[in-house]
Order: sequence, then structure tokens, then C-alpha cells
Amino acid sequence: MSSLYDVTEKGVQPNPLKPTPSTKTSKEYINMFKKDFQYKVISDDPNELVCLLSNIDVSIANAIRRILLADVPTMAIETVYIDQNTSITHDEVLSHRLGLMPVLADPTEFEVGGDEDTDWNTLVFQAHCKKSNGTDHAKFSPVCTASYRMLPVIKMLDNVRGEDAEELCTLEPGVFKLIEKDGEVEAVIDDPMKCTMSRNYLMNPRLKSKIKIERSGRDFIFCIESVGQVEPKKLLKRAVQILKEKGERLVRVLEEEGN
Amino acid sequence: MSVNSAPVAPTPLPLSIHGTPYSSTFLIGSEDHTLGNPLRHLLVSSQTSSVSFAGYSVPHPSEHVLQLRVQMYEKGGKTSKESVVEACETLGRICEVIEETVEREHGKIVKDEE
Repeated sequence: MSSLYDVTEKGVQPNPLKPTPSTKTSKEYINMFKKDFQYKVISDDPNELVCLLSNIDVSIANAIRRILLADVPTMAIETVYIDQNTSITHDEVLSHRLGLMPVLADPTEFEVGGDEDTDWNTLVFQAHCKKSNGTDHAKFSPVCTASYRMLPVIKMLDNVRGEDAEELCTLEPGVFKLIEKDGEVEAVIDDPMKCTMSRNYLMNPRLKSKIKIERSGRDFIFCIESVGQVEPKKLLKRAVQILKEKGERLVRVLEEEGN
Repeated sequence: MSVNSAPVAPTPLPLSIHGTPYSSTFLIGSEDHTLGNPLRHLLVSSQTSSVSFAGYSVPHPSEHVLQLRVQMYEKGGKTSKESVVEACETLGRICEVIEETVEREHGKIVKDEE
């Protein structure tokens, strides 16, 4: 397992010289995590959160992403009783479409499962909501998407000046900026996060020898886009709580098992 | 349950343990990669003095069962089961650290539910 990846023409390849850190005991691991873990908000909107989780293992980052997609519960319409439907939309199509609508109800105030009606809304139909998660049906997923990408790590091995500097700024927009130096323009790193990993700079042999782009396998730029029921930062918090509960559930069943 | 969804058969056992106390395979029901991979990582990376091997698999994607294999260096010390419990506890502590950090960063806005 590697914590650093080289970005080459052939693709993204693990760097064996940078292995994932490990410790002899769990206590040391927790101390290491406490010391190294960092959280940084990049943008925080009511519907979309972009944040950086640093010095965390990919397995935990991926668990958080999977929980956001499939394990954080929300409310959605489950059963529809139609009294009158004279429209061109068939009952079952209408019911399905109603089911896909986000329901602005706080899922923490409801219990999972149970068939009793929790909410109803009569126009010409009654809509009965249920609390469940994305594993049951995608309509219960609280996010449009939750994804992460590895943080780009850019190294300047040599000064990039003149025409090459201007070319670099067009090849990797936003990543580098031009500054004046000794009557010449020079490219310097501005925002590595804007790097799209296009690898276009590798086409210019001079740029190829002067710049090295890597990806960190321990720093993740998360993008959590909520459907609208729950704020993305609350979703992140709930996802972490659910991961903890999963561990606790396993400890419980392990202890019940006398073996 | 809606008319369109097919019922997934309930897992027969929430847990069964196979093998010896120092090299065991745990069959865990209702879990998948979400829990399996972090546990595998913690067993491999946070207990290197005692765990010699840890691996996991989800044999079939439509069956909600996780297989976790844990082997220890020496017999007589910590058992595989104890190391899995320890990994779960480490995972819990890590989640707490993440939660605290997220809350601190966002102020009291995240304070909800409970």
C-alpha cells in the first residue's frame, strides 16, 4: 500500500518509497492520527460542501463516502393511495415520481422501518413516508453525489520562464500563476487543488523535466452534494457517527458470541 | 416494502467464527466493504506487533456477508477476536477525532439531533 502516487504518461502509479505509515500498537496509531489528522473547509454552501481531509487512510475515507451514499437515512414517500387520477400520468408512474421527491423532514425524529403512517398529504392522493437508507432504494440517499479525489502534489524541480511559463498556465489553468522576475515572466504554483490531472504539460519535454505532479493517497478532497434535506456538514458528521456505530455493533456481536 | 423491490433474504447468522483462536475467519452478517476495509487496514497497520495477516472479502455482492481473516504471530498472546475488538475500538476513536475536528471547524452549526 502506497501513500503517494506518481502521475506519468502511462497513468497513476504507486510510489513504493512512500508506504502507508503503520504502528506497533493501537494506542500509538490513535496518537499518530490525533496528531496528524487535519480538516479544512474549502467551500461550505447549504447544498454543497467541499473539504479536505488530510492524513487519513483511504479505507476510512472510502467508508465515509460509502456511508454517505448508502447508510445515512432520510425520509421519502413510500406508499401512495390515489383517490382520483384523470391525468395522462399513470398511477404507478406518478407514485414512482412522487417517491423520488426529496421530503424535507428531519429523519432523526423518525424511526426506521415500521409500517404505520408518519405523514400524509391529501389532494387527490395520500402520500405515506418512510424512513430508510440508500441500500433500500436510491431515493433514500441523502446525497446527489459524494465523492473524493486525491490531493495533487506539485513540485517545481526547476524555474519555468518565458514562453514555457505562459504555455504552462494555459495547460494547467488556475494551478500556476505568472510573476515578473528579472524582466521575464516566471510560473509559480498558485493553487494545486485546481489541478485536473490532465497531464498535458508532459507533452512539452522542457516542462516535463521541470515539473513533477504526484497525488497524495492520504489527503482527500471531499465533495458532498446534498439532495436538500440535510446540510452536507451534518451529513458528514452523521456518516462518521454511523461508521463508529458499525464498529460498536461488531464488538457487541463478538462479545455475545461465546466462542 | 414497495411492490417493485425484491426482498433480500436475511442473513442466517449475524456472526460466526471459524478456525483457531489465533488464526480465525469471521463471517459477519449485514456488513460489507464499508466496515471490512477500514478494519483490514487497522489490523494490518495499527497492530503490527501482534497481527501477522489480515484480509477481507465480500464473496458475493448481493449477499450482505463479510469475511474477515485474522492471523496472529504467536499463540498464547492476544487472540484474533481480541485484535478485531481492538480494531473496532480504534476505529471508534478515529471517528470521534474526526467528529470533534469537524465540529470545531464548523462551530456549533453542526450541533443537532441527540
